[in-house]
Amino acid sequence: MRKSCLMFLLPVMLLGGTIIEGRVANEKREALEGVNVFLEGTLDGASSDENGNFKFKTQETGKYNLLIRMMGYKESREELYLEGKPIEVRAILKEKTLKSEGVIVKASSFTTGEESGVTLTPLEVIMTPGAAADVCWAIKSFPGVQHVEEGAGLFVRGGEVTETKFLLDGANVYHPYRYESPTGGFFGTFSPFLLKGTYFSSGGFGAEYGNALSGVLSMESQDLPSERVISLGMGLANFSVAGAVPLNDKLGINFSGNRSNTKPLFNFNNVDDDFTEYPFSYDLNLNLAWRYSGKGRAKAFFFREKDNVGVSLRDPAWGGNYYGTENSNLYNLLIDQALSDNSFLKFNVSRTDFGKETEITSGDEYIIDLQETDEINQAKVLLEKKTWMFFKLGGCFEQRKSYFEGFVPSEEDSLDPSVPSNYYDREYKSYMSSVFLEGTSFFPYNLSLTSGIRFDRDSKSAKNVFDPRFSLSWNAADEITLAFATGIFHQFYEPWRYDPDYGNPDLEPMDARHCIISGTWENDGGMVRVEGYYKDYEKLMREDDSLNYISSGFGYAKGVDFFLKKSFEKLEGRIAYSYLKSERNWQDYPGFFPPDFDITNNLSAILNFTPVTFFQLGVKYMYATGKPFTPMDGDFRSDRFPSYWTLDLSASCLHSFFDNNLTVFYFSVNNVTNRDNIIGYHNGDINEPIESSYGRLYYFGVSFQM
Amino acid sequence: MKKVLLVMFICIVMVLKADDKQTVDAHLLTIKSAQQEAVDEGNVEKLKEISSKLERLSTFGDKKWLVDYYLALNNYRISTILYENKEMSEKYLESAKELIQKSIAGKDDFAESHALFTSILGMEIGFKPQLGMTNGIQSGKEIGKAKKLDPENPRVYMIDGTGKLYTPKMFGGGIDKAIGLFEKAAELFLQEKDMGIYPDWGRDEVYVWLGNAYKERKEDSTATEFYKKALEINPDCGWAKVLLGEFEQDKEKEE
Repeated sequence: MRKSCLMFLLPVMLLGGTIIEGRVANEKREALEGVNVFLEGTLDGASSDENGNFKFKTQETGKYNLLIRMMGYKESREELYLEGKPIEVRAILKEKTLKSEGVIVKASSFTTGEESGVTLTPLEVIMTPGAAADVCWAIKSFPGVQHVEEGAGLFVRGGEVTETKFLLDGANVYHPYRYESPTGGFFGTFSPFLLKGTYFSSGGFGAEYGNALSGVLSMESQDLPSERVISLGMGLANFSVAGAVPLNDKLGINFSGNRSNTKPLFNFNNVDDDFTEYPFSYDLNLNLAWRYSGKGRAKAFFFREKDNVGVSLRDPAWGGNYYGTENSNLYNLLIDQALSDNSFLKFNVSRTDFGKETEITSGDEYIIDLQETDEINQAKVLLEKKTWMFFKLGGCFEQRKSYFEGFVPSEEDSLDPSVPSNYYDREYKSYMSSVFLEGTSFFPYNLSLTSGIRFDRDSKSAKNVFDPRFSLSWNAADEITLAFATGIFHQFYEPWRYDPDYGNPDLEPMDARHCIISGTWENDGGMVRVEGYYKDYEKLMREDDSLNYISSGFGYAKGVDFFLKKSFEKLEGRIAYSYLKSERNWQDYPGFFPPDFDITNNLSAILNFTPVTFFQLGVKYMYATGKPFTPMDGDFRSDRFPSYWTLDLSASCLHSFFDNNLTVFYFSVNNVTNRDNIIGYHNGDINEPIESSYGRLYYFGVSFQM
Repeated sequence: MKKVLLVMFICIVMVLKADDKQTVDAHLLTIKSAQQEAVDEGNVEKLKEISSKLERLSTFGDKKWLVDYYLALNNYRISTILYENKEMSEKYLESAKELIQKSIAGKDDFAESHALFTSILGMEIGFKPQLGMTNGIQSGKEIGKAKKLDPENPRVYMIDGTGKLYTPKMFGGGIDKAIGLFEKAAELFLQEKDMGIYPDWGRDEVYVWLGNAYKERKEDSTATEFYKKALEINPDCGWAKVLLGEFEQDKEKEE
């Protein structure tokens, strides 16, 4: 009978359950009210009271995860063993570091894209006044990017244009500009509609990015489309077709085709241009996305672009014509596989084929007649693990083959027909391998430290470089973050610079050391960031009479960047101001002087006004100090061109003609005041200014989506 | 005797553990009606409790996309009630947006999620007009997708109508268009059968929206009729009660 009674009481005893109680607070040890504390996979739980206390009873037994959740905070998880004994839990919840406006607070970087919240979506690129729907032009409105030329070239913090590295889905992009020129090119290669998001860093970037002295622009292509969308676009200078077609829930295609012809644009605006062939380009893109499992996806990206342009060259000493044509193909296969809940593997193989033909003629005589090809094959792997530390381990192998054939003047940068020509017929092969390791650890008092090291080796120079990099971030208060970043950055030269006849096989990789200190205030309505930096350059290239080039150049860049972003009810604006001082002793400089890209003051102010939901008006003011130059009868680089500024306007209006249709009408006026900006002087003679061809320029178009 | 006690033991354990053995479906049914009640009362505290419960339910694994939908709907409701408290309202709306995107990622062919996403995007424009362009495009796509997936879903038409009501005529909106869509929704609600665990809200709300549309047209008596109709369908409909009360107050002031 006693046994029977015990048996009867057993369930009651068992059902006595376990009491779980405790307190939840934030990192400042302040009580958090309304926190949901519960056992995973059950409804057993409670919400914390105004003192952060909670208490509940559960009948469950055995191992369970206690989840502690609250909006705006990172989830906390604790494993408990339930056996009837009371359990006390003390939990600290950390605020989520990603703020709604999506800027990751890391020195000098801006993250854009759909996932992390948005600062610059593809549509915002389109809506940036004066940006000509171009990613690079839009990035130029961010701090730390100097306006040096009327083009897309990204000159970052006193660095030369080639010091900014471009990547697409992890693949290195060696020809990121259309209508390439020594200062970059006129447009970026990739249309914003091909992209999901971008990461831009103007310095102090992590060990993941190598072979770049100044900046990184990393782009990510569109993912698996969730619905069928076809859009047609037509404007004064372009016609485009784009689409996203899901084939099933795991497979989809994004495609686009764009044909650009600037002749109607210049004719409409009566631009007194010097084109013998108006800039013309087309591009095609096919992007196949496949979610092959719940944990993996693959993306095959194909891109083809071709452009050509002809310009009449008006040098007072001689007359001539320039003709250039380029074609570029990029193939990239990316595999992104989750190995576990906190481990991820990315692997990509890519190939780039680039061809360029350049002709400069004076009468019947060729001054330059050069054909170049560039083939790059690359394989890259990246392993990420998120435990108590975030680890990144990666490696890359790259093979590059460049070929040059044709005539060029024997004196670099000289187009004078009297200068004799050299005939080139050279092929250069090079291999580059790199490995990096980076870890981010989190400490009490809202401190986080990212430290990394990378190793690069280039076969052409036969040099190895090691780049240690560090960045420290401190979330000093709710809305204030202070950051510090430092590191060593190396960049190898183009393979032909190591040619024993025309270059120097002993050139050493260029070297820059960054030191950045940054303060960011951010809340839901806006953001202010102030950064000071110092960059020390060594082993820059100098011209040498006997060795062609030597690595004895040096220089520095220092400055302050300011960024303000604020939105009010119907207004959204951003101001980017950069102060820069830069000097170099390189190339053929007779001493320490400011280079072309030493733009002391650079200001970009953008205001977008949305009076009604379907209408937006944008205005942009851009100001830049003139470039240094050597006056005809003056000292080396002792003067500057007049300041450059423009005021641009844009308007866009949405209309729906039928269900699922969205039509965007857009209109823009660049250089509203029709200012004659001076972009040079013939032979340094200030009486012979070269004015910009771009006076007031009207543009309009329509995009039709269904 | 031993056998009897054993049976009793099993029964007690079964009874006391019954709650745990309830399926996600059973919980959703209970939560659905609690949610409707809290909405009728405009009771934020109750809605918060429901959010907590749904959050726990989402860790069960089963039908997570549907739980996420209800959680998004719940947080969206809280956001609308707290509209005057911008900071809190935005916080809940942001959470609703995140959740509905998760729900869609889990099940892309559920029309209700796309329709709710449309509402969330529309409300976000209310807080941040500069998002008008981007969200306008997105919401157009979402409602289009919802209609394609479920052309007979009354909530899809009702949500489309709410968007059209506040969209100028030149941009494809307007009161007449909105009324047409609300009427279509009301008709479809009459045909809607027992939805079980799936959403069935809006039977009364559609008449409130019709009332609001006529109010915009300055046809107050028709508007009143529709508010009353909403109360006929659901005598506890708090929103209709408030709006009718406002009408009566205005009338008294005029007299």
